[in-house]
Amino acid sequence: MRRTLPIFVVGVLALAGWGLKAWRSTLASSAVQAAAAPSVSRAPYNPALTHQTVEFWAAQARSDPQGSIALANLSHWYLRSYRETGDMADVTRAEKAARHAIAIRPLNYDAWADVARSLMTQHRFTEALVAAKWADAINPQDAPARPLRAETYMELGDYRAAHHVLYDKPIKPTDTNAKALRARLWEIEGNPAMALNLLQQAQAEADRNLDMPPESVAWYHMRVGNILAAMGRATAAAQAYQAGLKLFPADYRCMTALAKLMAGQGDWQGAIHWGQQAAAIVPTPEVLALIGDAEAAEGHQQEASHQYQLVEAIGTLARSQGVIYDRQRALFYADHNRHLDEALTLASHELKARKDIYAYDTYAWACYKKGLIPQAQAAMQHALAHHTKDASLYYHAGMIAYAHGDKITAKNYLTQALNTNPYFHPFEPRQARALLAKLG
Amino acid sequence: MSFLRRRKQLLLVASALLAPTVFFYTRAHGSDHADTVENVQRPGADLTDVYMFPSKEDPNNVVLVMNAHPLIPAGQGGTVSFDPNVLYQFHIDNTGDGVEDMVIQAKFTGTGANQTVQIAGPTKPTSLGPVSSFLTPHATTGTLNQAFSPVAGMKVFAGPRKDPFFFDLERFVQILPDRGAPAGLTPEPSNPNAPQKTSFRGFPQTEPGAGPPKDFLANFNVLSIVIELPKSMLQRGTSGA
Repeated sequence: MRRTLPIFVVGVLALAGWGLKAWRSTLASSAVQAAAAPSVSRAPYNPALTHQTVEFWAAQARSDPQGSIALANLSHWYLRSYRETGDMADVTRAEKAARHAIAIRPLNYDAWADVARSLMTQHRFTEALVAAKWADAINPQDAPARPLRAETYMELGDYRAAHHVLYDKPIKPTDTNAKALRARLWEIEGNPAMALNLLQQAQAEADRNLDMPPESVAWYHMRVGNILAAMGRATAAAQAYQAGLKLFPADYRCMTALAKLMAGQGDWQGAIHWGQQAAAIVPTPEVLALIGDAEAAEGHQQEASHQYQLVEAIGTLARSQGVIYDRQRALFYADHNRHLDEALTLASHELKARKDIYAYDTYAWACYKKGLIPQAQAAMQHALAHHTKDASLYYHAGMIAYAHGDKITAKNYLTQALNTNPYFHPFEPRQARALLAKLG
Repeated sequence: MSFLRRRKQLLLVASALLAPTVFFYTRAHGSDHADTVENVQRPGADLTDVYMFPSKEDPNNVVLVMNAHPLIPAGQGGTVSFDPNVLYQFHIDNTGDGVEDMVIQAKFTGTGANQTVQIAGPTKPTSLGPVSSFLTPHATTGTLNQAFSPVAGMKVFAGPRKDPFFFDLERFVQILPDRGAPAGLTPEPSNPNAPQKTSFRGFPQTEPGAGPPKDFLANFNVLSIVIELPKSMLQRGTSGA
């Protein structure tokens, strides 16, 4: 059955000066046929196109120094370039272009939105919120402004405000961005099934939109994969990541997720394969640590040590270039019992920058490793305050409870961790099982 | 990029008035690009212009043009496709009641350079208004960038073409800010709703140093559907091809 959605645009233009009384008007429309429409293969991802388009908008901006629209578009394309390549320099270029646009025309919604996105990517969350509020205030009717604010609130850990912004008004069926953010809230609030349902809707809508950039469509597949993985549905998660890679073959995020998934399942060669693929594009501390863990599990201690050294080097280097990997580095140090003072410092910085549940979790884990058990417990309470069903959170909570001497709570949390997702980490599930065996 | 919301509103109002009251010998001017969030996210469903004019080659023919997918950078026309999930339609009112009596539909299959197009109509629509389904197409299928004749007397072209509209958009949004002024936020621009400029560039009264007007759309393409057919196929009393 073919179904059509309401017309997107109606234009009425006609009667160009010639007399034929019968023809009063023409009216043109484009109606989107959705849902049951057969899937159409997209044009393959063309990595040169983004670069060409950045150059195009830069030339447009140069051709009219009094203009702001081209600058805002240039900013938008710099951000897209960043998402495709991970090149942080594009983010600062995006911020600069957007601020230039605002200097020319202050009430520039698109530019304010891109300033907010740039700042968020730079982990300047409080400033990002101000810019997102500007975008929302300038153009409260437009759908993206509110999710942008909600996203910033979520990064800052203000889930109540995010909820208010996201549910204050109904969202359109085609608003994939708002659906994805609502899904994230459901995930935080401990309802992964609802989150998965919403995200699958968003992903289906993204799949149908052939004009959506491949990187963006792949992101929806990756998010579906992430929720499936968190639910312990490893096979389905891997399929989602593979679908993302089919759309956007350079998707280092999907590659990293596959590496993590395979490491969790003990497929060390698979983890190394996908980890190396991802690291060749963007060598995040997370993926380097995964490769190191897989190499260590394979008995390749020298290679593992090399990867761990890279984690430290990349982390430091990236910071000098404006990339903030504090959370990933703190977790790596804590997980591997390295530089625990620095782990605590990094975790403290994270908690100052944002107070989301994962900042509390990272801080709790660093405190635990430093032997600061009361502080770890207090932070872990914040991390678990929203009843998030996350195996890593449960594992950390279990280990902290055990360190505190609360064996029953430890047993409960560790059991929950393994029941939620037995593949959540390369080696922590094994440690959880060992401790559970000890606890009886 | 949703910078044309205000102009869109103006255009729609103008169109609503023009259709029933101004019959012929009158031109309607307008263009509309990226005017809603939905359209920005789905440019294949974003119509920028619709034209109807007599054929220069054959006075018995009329030409209909529908442009979609705005802001395709110069040189990238080959990378963009009509949206296969969109039904592109001309609605034709030949009785003056503001209700379509005929439709001509274009439906695309596939993406990229191999995209094909089928044409249905002109024929009476099975339903009026925005909800439609693709009617029985003519047997001949066309490909992008190649004129073809789906039925005797009708010629069709579909593919990228330079955006025909001329507009100093950058200046326009400085004359008519298209956004509301936010309240209670800092830093507050001084008098944000006041026009930053008072006239287009290139006019005698424009301030010194403004320079010549600049056509924002000069370097952009759109996707065009161009149909030439005999006027008789659209006149009252005909049921189309």
